[in-house]
Amino acid sequence: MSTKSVALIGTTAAGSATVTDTKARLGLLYAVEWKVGTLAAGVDAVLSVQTTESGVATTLLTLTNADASGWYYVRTLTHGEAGAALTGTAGGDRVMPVINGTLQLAITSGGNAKVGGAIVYYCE
Amino acid sequence: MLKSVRLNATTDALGDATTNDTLSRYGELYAVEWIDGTFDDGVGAVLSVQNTESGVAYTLLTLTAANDDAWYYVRRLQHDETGTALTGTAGGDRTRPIIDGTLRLVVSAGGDTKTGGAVVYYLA
Repeated sequence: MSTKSVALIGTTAAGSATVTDTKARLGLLYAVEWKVGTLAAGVDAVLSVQTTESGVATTLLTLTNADASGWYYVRTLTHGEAGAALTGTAGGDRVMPVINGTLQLAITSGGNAKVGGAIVYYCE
Repeated sequence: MLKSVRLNATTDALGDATTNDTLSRYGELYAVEWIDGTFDDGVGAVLSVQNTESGVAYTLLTLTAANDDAWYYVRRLQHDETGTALTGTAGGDRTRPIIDGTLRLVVSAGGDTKTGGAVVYYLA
């Protein structure tokens, strides 16, 4: 698998911005680099996958008061053969979540006419 | 490479449905996205592999009362050199199951003429 990246950078209006990727992607989420830019303190953000093969949107990462730039290596729980979630308290218990659709970053409480966003790294 | 296959199901008057993939696949199961669709509460589902190289069908995932859309990152127990299963209570102790055959989704107790299914993600 090779690692690729896609930048989702937006400019807020009345504190909010929604940035949608230009195409659908199929792969595994490796990391998210949050770039606070000029966004106001108290900014929140939700990275999700829209227009999925299943028709059900999926949230990958939810940030609250993301006032500093940072890296997030998001990993999701694994399950047994009966569908029960495994312990997952340690990072080694978790795996990269699937991306199958169009990435979307929704920013709120970011202040007016401010710029920031995320770079999404994924394996395909 | 990550690939996906969608298995749609429409139940009969008894609430049952069986959906077979259109071809054989060889790879490692990465995740299953269960789509509850219009199934009645109490729906059950079994994802298995048929027409295997060994001739022995096997189950990948069994769901009971699968009343909500959900993701399952199924991982199997590992073994030592004497064939004894290792601890496997944590996700990091487990590994992706093999797919070598034709995927089959069997739905039960889903209600009369209801639709739903699953998207199966695997590494090929």
